[in-house]
Amino acid sequence: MMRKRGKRAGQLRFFLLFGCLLTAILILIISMAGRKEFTAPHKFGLEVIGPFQTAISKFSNYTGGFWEKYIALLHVREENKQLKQELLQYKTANVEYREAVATNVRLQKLLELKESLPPPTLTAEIVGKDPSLWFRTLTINRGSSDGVQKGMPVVTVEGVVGQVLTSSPNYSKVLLATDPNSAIDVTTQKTRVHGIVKGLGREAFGLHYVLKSAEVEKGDYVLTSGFGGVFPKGLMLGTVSDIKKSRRGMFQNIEIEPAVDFSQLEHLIIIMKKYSLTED
Amino acid sequence: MFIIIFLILGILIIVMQTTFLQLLPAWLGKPDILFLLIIYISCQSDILRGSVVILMLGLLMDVFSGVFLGLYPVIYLLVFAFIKGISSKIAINEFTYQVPLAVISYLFVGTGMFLFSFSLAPDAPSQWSWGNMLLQLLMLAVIGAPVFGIFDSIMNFYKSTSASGRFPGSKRSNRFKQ
Repeated sequence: MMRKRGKRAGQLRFFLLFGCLLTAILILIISMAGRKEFTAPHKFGLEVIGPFQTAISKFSNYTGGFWEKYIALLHVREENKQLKQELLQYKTANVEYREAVATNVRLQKLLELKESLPPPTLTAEIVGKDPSLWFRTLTINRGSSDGVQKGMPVVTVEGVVGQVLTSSPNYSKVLLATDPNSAIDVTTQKTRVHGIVKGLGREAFGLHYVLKSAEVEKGDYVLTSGFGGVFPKGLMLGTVSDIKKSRRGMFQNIEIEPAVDFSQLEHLIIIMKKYSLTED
Repeated sequence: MFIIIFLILGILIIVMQTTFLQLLPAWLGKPDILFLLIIYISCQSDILRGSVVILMLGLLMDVFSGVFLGLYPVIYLLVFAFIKGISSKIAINEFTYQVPLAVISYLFVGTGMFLFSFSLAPDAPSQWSWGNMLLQLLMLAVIGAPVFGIFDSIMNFYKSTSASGRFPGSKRSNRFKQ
């Protein structure tokens, strides 16, 4: 009997304690409801959990970031490779485009010159250059089957290049005006002095047989005279770059800077008539 | 077979010299690889086959270079004769002698070219340029060893094929049988 009474009193105390605790919690919850600021327990909880949270967050961020960066790097590599390829393609296309434009301009000029020259004329391309130190010749892709013959003048937009030396059915050899074996009858534009232009074996001509008494100015243009019967009259050869009058001899030593850049030759025009334009 | 191989090689070199090597900048000079081939053939071949190849290469050079036909065959054959002449006294077949030989020969050839063109066209003499000549000699000295090395490997290839590639029916006569 005594035991049963003691047990009931214990249960009652437990329920009372539990009820009080529950009531306190309820009061706490009700009192917190609607507030925006943390209370002390909140703050405490946050302070306790926060460091863990920070650590885990940092770790996850690091690993997550590392992974993301690694994946992204792979993508970047791929993208970089692709972009480089695209850039190369565009660069190639750009070079081709520029080359096409340059060729177009060159051919347009050539066409203009061709139209200004008496027909028939023939365009030719250089296929080979003389490898020796001693001679200045070219091989072109036009020959006797195209009507090319020995002695025909070869010109470009800038001026005289040379004349045909020999020809096979499909190719010809051109003697450049810079070769010492080349001789062209010329006249200076301003002072109308006649002379013979010979190659010096380098990128220059020498104007020969000009008397010391003749007036030749530096910078004067030198044009074909048309007297030789090979070159038409009025084709540009170059400009007078140097004049020397030595004590001995009858003639002046005159050097001419060629109008044509012989190192940049690509397309040429062959004038099919051997005689002068003035005879037309 | 020797004639065909070295003729084809010579043609390839001429084509390269007249086209691809012309793109080299002027200050670098124009390497005369064909001249090195002429020297190599002169040193390594017998008189008959060597002279045939050199004559044909000279004729081909006349087509692509120069104004006077016959100049290159004459000059090249003179070089061939000169080398054959001194080969009886000096062991010029040695690899080490070939580069200086090529350089000295080129200087003689240059002089020969100059004198020949002067005698053929006295009113239009070629201009002698020491600058270009020295550049050319330097270029030959630099490229000489590797180019001779390539020619040597081609020669070895030729020797190996000619030794193993004889037709079974073509029996050689017994040279010991008199």
